[in-house]
Amino acid sequence: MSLHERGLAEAARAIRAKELSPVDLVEAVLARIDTLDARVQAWALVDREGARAAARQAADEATRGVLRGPLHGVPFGAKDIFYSAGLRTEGGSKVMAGFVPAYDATAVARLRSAGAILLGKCHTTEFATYDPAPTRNPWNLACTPGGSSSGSAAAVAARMVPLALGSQTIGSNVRPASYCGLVGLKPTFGRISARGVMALSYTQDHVGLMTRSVEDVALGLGLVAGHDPDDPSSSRAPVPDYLAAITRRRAPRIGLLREFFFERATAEVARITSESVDRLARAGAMVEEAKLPGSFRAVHAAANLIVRSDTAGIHAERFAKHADLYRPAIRGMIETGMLVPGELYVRSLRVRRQFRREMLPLLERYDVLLTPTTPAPAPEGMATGDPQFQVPWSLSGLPSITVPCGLSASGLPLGLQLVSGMFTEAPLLAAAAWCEDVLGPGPAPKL
Amino acid sequence: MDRERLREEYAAGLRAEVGRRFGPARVEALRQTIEDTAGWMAEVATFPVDPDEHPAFYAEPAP
Repeated sequence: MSLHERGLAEAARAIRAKELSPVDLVEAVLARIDTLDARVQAWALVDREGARAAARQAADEATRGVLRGPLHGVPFGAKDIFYSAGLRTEGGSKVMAGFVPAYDATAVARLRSAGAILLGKCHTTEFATYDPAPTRNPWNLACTPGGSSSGSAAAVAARMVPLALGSQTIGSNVRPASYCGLVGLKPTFGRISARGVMALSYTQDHVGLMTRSVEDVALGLGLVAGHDPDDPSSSRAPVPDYLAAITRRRAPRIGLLREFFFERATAEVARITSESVDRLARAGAMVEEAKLPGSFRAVHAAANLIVRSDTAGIHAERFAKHADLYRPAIRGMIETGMLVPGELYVRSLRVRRQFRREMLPLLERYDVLLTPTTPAPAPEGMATGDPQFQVPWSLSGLPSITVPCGLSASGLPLGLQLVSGMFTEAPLLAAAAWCEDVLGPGPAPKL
Repeated sequence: MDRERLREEYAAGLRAEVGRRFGPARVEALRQTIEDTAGWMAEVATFPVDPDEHPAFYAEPAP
């Protein structure tokens, strides 16, 4: 196996065992980027000098038996809405051209504290909304990788980096992960600090992770999760040992959400999802059809009103000065978001709470709820695809994960989306790892 | 009021306000966005939210 193909846990283990030098690993992924990124366009900025210097230092320390943490010497990427001290962070927008933060986002800082090396910044749609990034899908360069975490997904899929930070406010982490054949996790709202991440919605912004295996995402989550006093929405809930949790994997009780999700999916996606569920059932999973609560009817409307109102509030001052620098989609979001009545904003928040409450019986009955991750495989063109299957979990803050489940007839990856209760990432990851065992790991694109 | 009539009222209100605040060219540029937003507004306005339900900003219950 080439060095650039190594996963997060595997690379970290090899460095700890002194079988792999961080210098060789960083050079391998930089060479991979040099070979492919003119076509894939995953990276807004590659910090070659900084990454090489960090790798030399990590190699020197490893030789002396000094390990900074579990990811000592392993490179990662971050969506270009995550602040990175001294590195340009533009959020895919002319509005932020040349902006260099003075500090790292908490998630970036925690990965660096664990010994990881920030390789660079991955392309995002403008301010993580809908105006597309230049990035292409490594499985088919004519297709979108999804968005808004477009570069993060493409970089991990193209084996340019084993881990990337993404974010999800509507559908921006799990959807691109699925379009690119990855494991993508959107944890519970507040599980990972959003400090230093360009905000889109105060109550729906989630930091997410993308990797090529459930073990890798469990490893990454354990390092970035946990309370941050500088983020008012950060949870004080204790952080379990997620790696230990996935060793306790067992056949889960699955609530299958056919209503809405299968109705909105293409016939091919519905068929491949059903075949995957049959394989899980034959392997021992208990599968029942689960019924959505009445409040599901209003979740997409509520989520859109909340996000547009929050986005208008967050961008109000910048927009007043630089409206012409905003691209069409986010400009429209801000202009209409300014006009949503306060009464309907509050009502949307109440819908959210009612939906979360009405979901509780389902979440207690089953270990996970299961849906297709996306209605269809990644579409051709620049538009970033349909996020509607992620919206309920972005609104409610419930954790969700996608695992690969096969390829479409056109050769594009498809995924299963698993959802569980608030702060139940440990059993969610255990169920995802069990599904990964049954369905097999996602294949690599031929680039 | 039924949802479709309410949606039409919201859309008319949004078109008028977009025109007043951002100019008539923006009304045409935002035609689909205005229709979508009016639909979401009507959906939320007519959804029978539980009268005892409070808004929740954060996911975690208070310690």
